Amino acid sequence: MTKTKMKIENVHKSFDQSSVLRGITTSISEKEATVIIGPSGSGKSTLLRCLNRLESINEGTIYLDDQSFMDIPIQKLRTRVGMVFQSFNLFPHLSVMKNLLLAPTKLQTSKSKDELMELGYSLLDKVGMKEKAESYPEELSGGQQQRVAIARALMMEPEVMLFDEVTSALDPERVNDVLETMKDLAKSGMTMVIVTHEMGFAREVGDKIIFMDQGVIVEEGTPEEVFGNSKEDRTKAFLRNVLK
Amino acid sequence: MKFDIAFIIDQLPYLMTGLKMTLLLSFASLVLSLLIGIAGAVIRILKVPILSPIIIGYVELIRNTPLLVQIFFLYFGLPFIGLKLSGTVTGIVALSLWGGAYAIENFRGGFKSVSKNLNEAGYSLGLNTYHVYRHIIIPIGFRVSFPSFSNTAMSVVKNSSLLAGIGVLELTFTALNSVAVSFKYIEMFLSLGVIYLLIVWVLSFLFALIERKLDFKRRSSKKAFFSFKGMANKTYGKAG
Ligand SMILES: Nc1ncnc2c1ncn2[C@@H]1O[C@H](COP(=O)(O)OP(=O)(O)O)[C@@H](O)[C@H]1O
Ligand SMILES: [Mg+2]
Repeated sequence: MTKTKMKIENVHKSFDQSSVLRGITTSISEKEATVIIGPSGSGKSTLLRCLNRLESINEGTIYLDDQSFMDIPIQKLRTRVGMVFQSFNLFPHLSVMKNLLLAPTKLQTSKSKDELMELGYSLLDKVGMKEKAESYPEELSGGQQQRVAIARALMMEPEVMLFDEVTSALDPERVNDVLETMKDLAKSGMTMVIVTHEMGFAREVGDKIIFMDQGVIVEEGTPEEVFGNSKEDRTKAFLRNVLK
Repeated sequence: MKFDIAFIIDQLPYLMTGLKMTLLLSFASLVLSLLIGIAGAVIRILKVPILSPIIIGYVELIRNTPLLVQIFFLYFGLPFIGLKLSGTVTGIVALSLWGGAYAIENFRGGFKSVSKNLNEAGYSLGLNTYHVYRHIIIPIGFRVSFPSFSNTAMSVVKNSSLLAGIGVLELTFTALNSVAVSFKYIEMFLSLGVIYLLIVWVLSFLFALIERKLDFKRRSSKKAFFSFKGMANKTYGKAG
């Protein structure tokens, strides 16, 4: 049994009148990739955003290492739980290296500027972007920007990484670069929560698959269980739809 | 009637003393307008309690009353509450408050155009609101607002001539002094117009240079000076 990194208990979230998450209970295991799939509008992004408190929850509790979210200062929490977005969101006025350095130079007082630069280069190397350290975001392709965004999140040395459809805005021929980077990260033992529509990738890297629909978890289990032998009709219908 | 060039040349040194004052007033007021504009815009966007409604009222008041009335009010009104300021200081205060009000609207538009996605990227890295404004929203929004702020700045410079109304020895007032004894209106006001035109031209040239420098889209790749790529696109941080 691997250790539980995050525990999500009966989480409810609504925007105005509409209830988007309706009692989510699950757990995220350490050093595993948890993949969330489901039709669009089912609440996947909202759940992910609750996991680094970009959204506040109306009911329920989330734990990180047995510590309730409410007991962790919000900025501290976000350095421990990094996030990568569909739309890359690199800071357009900063070079790649400065994108990486901005947050840690403001927040990580334990490291010197030189040490941070060194970490920056090694992470850029890891995502295959070392040569572009001095480039500006708009000079990069979408796939390159997304790999920089991953490196930027890793600069904070997070314990968990959240990925929200990070390949959905990419040209098809760029998708693989980013997926490879994520596979490497999974192999290196990073705890990851991934929302994706790439079913092949989900099956390959996912240690656990969660299928969500209409704000609830319909089914969860190993890739074999969910993809190969789904129990719920809604899961079967969804998979039939996306796999055809 | 003949156009008396010699008169103008004769009066130039005197006009230059006025010009110096105009430039001083303009420079001080522009710096203050810039600061008021950035601070006011952030307060408005963050909806800071108490301060935000004050800013709204201030901007309304300034934008909906004539600047000359504001100048008179400060110059003749403030002494009644025990605040006696010199014409020059009154002038700087009046122009800064006026320019600041317009600058708040300029910057508010620019800061708001910075995509919410970029703020969230900042917050997701653990940055706080101060960091996000200081390092993300203000630097990006400033570039977006800069063309409209330049227009405000140009108006501040031109409107400094209204300070002649309270006897500040700036360019327009020196011209008035000069015609009061010479009666050479055409020569003087034509020259005055030309001098203002030159100031505004120089200023707009400087602003264009700054705008070019600020454009991060051309910074790294050392594109040619006269390349216009990316000049039109003023919203940043969208996907793709
Ligand atoms: N900030 C918001 N305000 C109002 N409704 C929202 C907001 N964010 C998401 N929603 C709604 O919540 C539902 C779930 O959205 P989302 O979590 O983005 O789903 P998914 O990522 O699975 O496509 C959708 O109906 C969406 O319109
Ligand atoms: Mg989504």
